[in-house]
Amino acid sequence: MRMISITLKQTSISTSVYTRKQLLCSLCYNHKRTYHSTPALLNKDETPPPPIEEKENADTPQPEAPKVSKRIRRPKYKLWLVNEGKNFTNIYDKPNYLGGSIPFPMNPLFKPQPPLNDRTKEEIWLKFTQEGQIPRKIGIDYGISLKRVEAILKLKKLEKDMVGKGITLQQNLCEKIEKMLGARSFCVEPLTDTLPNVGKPNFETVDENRDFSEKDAAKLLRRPTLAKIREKESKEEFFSLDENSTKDKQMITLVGRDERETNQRFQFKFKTIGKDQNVILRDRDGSLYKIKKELIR
Amino acid sequence: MRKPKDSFSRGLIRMSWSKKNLFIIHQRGDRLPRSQNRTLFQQKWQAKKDTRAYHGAQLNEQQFRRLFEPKLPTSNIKDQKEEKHPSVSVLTYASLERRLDFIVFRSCFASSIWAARQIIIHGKVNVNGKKVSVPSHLAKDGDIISINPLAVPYLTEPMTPKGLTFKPIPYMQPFLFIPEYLEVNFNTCSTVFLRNPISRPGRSEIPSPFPPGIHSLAHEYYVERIKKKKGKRTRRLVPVEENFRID
Repeated sequence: MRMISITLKQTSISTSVYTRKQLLCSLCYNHKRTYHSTPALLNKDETPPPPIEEKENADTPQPEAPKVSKRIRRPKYKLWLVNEGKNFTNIYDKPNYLGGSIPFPMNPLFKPQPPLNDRTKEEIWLKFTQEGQIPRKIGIDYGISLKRVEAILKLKKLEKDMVGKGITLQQNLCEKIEKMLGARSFCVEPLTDTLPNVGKPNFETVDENRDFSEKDAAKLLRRPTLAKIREKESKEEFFSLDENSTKDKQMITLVGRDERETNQRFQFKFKTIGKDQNVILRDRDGSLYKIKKELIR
Repeated sequence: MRKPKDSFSRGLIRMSWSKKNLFIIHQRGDRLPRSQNRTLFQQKWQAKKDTRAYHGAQLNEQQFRRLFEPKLPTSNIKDQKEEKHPSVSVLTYASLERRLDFIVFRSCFASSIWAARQIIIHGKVNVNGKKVSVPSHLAKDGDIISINPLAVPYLTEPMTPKGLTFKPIPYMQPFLFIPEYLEVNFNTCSTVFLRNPISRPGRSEIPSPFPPGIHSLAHEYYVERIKKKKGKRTRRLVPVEENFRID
């Protein structure tokens, strides 16, 4: 606070020297009344004050005229830079945001997620190349999305290629900046990001007396009702499940054989319709079979 | 004469690491622009002025209007298990984040958006191995953007076996963060653009000094004025419901 008093003392001497016009101009510009401007404004004398003496005109000695020092511009800013602002110039081992954990005090919804550190990325690279793990498993283990896994692997490949060509990597930068970003060894991200492709809401005017059921809604949306879709799905499921069990067992018994009834192409099946359902099969080599179905239900 | 970019009297927050900009953010603090005794138009204008000073300050209005998307993605989340998403208007300026100069700045390789522009124009940036000197180049999902390490502002000459010397710029630390839609590798000074920024529960992916309310107002301002006509091809696009037809 001592610093402030010194500066203001200096300026208070020079107030009378400033022209009223200049002060008004500065006020319009700043929308703020500063300490040193008020006395001159309150002074309602119309006599024009003497003009400003430049610092450079020190050649002509005028001991009576006060020595002019230029007023300190933006004192608040300069003070802040020295006091609180210094914290943003010397702490380089952890993230250091204006609002503590958030960089913009007006927007608390933007909370930057720290990135992955280089050590973890190397691990991911090794897991993919040496162990042959799939990106999906890597994504689940480290909590990163599939797209990010892909990107990490691409960038690591680029890195290895550069090392192969003999280009030096910026490891200094990597180490120092990861400290400042607060990089960690895991992320909290869903594996895939999908925004549902939802259309605009449909609006329909309906009479007050009328009821609006899901059937009417389905008609408007030009699609079958949800109940029907679900039914169809369940039917498909039903069929796939009973593939193995609902096939009726067949009992084939040889009845006779006729050498003359051979046929190279066809098998003949004779089916009786009615109460006693029999199926008789004449095979290609002339043998006759009786087929009986055992119903399992 | 035009006032400088980091003029205190204007009090605009910019995409820059300068200490004046840091002070302006500190000065504005958590006070929202005043909405009392302000008409709706005045509020929208103020919101547009503030947000555009940060998002796309290097763009003309004409250039911005070409990139602006009036339709925001609708997120239909019925489950109460997830934390509530912030208003979709946080994605108002999402289409700008694909630009090359934005990617270079967001990956912390430039000290301001104008510096990022210059780095690109001077040819220090490669996209998928090829030089691209157009700052308005829009990256596709999965593109690798690499920058020449000598062009990075905090890397200076004495070359060591571990790369160039790291000389931190004063007051740069409060601006060091990497958004979730970028993956940066500092060893090679390269980034991969992962995907479009999307809506997330409880947080906003796009770094912005302004809360979603301000973005909503700015979005409303632009939506009233930009009416992107649907081209012949898009008009013939089948609506979502048609794909579900089971006849």
